[in-house]
Amino acid sequence: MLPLHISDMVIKGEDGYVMLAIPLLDIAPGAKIGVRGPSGAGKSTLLHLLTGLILPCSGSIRWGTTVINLLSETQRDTFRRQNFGLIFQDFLLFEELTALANASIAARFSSPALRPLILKRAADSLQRFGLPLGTRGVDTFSGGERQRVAVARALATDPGVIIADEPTAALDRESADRLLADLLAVTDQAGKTLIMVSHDPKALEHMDQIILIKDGQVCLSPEDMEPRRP
Amino acid sequence: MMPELWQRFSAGTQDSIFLIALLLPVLLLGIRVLHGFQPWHLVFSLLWRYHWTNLLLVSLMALSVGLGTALIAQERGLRVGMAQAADKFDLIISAPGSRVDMMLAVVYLQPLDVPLLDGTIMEELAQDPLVAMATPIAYGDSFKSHPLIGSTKAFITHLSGELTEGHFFKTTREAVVGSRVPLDMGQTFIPAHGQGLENPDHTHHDTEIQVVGKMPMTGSPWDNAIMIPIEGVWEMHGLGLGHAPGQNDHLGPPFDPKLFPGTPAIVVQATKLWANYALASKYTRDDSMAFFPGTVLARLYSLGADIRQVMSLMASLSQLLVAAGVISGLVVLSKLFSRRFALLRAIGAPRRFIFAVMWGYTTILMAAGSLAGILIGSLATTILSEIITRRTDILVKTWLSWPELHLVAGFFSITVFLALIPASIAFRQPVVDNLRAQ
Repeated sequence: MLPLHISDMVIKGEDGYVMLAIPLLDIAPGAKIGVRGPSGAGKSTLLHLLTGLILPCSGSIRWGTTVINLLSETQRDTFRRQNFGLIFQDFLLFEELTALANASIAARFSSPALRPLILKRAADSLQRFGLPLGTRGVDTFSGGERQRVAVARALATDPGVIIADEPTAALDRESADRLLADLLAVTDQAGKTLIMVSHDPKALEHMDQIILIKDGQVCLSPEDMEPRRP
Repeated sequence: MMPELWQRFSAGTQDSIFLIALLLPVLLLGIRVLHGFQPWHLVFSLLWRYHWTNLLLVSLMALSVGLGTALIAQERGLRVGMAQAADKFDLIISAPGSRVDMMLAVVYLQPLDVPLLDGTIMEELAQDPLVAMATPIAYGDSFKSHPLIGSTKAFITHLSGELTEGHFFKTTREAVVGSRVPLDMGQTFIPAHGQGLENPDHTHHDTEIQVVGKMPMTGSPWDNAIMIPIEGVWEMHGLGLGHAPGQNDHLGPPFDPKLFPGTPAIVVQATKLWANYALASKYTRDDSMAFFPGTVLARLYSLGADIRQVMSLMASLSQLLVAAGVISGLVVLSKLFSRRFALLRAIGAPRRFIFAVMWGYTTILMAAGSLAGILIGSLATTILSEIITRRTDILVKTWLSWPELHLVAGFFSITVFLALIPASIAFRQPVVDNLRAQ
């Protein structure tokens, strides 16, 4: 499992203003971290930095012993594939493909030895979430079902870290609750780190710690200073 | 060593090897690009998602490939058809003049005025031991658009074999008609002077001719001809019958050299193949010329060879232009895929995988276009063959064959390399920007 250590990290926009600065941040493996803050404050930027999709101007983002911002683009692709499961607000599924084809999509570009494992995990997750593996495309699914397919996709490579960007924002309350329950159950059970950007108080209340991002600055909001332990 | 080995293969094997060689780059490139990946699920997803656009692009490709191949196949078909039509005419003897004109007149029945050969040369040929058959051919009259040809029974047999109906002419007022002449057995008609309908009033009023036999199809303009004894042509023009008095019931050779009214051409068949050459040199002289229509055709074809190459090149170029247009369309279309590709990158797909998906997608479109093009080409070839056969009376029977398959295979190979362009554009797309964009 990978602890996260960020130090002296700064990323600037094109015209030189500071988009996000994090002097120091540590996240222990298995922690559940909520990220909140106003729109445009830099929440998505944080997720992109953590996954190596963008690079900071200075500082280091270290997962375990790997400083991700020092890797080449190809190495970062590999690192992402091996360590992260990503979930997006608007699912980003391939609508024409079946639930299983979507959930196991990583098998198509992973090494042949991993393909059967990815397929099996994808099928297991879908069954666990009560979804049909099916012959029909996911365009016939409801929003809640689609997002659960996306979660199954994020879990299929058995990553140590799940990174979710507003996973419940596009869902109704009932679907959102069910998704959260499923997501928390699997991350708890396997001891995965969960980093979730959300505006949803019900989602955030399950988190160990909340990071507030405001105007490119990170602070641990007062009411959430103490890590919540169940 | 290698050329010898190559020569030992049959033509079909050589063509197959060449086809495989043309497709080999596709295979090698495919292995190189797709190695380690399984992009087909996503390729299918893209094909299905934009199926109308994809269908349009494939149709465009198919049309350009189809018409290009049909054109080339048709040209070859016409060439083969013309050669077959000339097959029965080993050697033609006429008054000195243009060989091309004479060939067009005798083999393809495109009439023209030429000086006549007289009876001495006919007599000479009749006596020549190297000659198996020498038939005077006389033309100039017609019925509607069907040329009236004076010849002999031996020539008709030589041209088409046995009759399908009726019998050979026994008098100067009987005719055997070609398979495409719309006259029934027993029907009578009055031929007109000259050819065509320009002057329908100018008929040989007193001459009524009856159809007594029908020739089988020969696939040549002769299917459109009405054949009467050559004596009948002479008689209509008041030139006598070419036979000594008292022998006027006799049709065909021998003719009386003094009474022979003259003929524009004599079709000769030699006893042996080599004898043709001896005859050709013997009768090429001051008062006559002898030539092989096959040789004249071959010379015409070799003149046309450059044009054929230009035609093939134009067909290939226009196909490539369409392919380039389709590829440009795909570059634009790939903007629509950019979010999906960005997602794949975000969840850890290497850039090479995006490259492979886009290349595979483009290649599938090109392959579908090429295959559909072959189908359209076959269909167009069949239709064009029929039209040309009707227009020229030369039987064009042609199918897409190796040259067209090679052309399409070469074209496909090139497009598969062109497919690297949209693939590299997709390869370079930024991830985060496209992930956000709706």
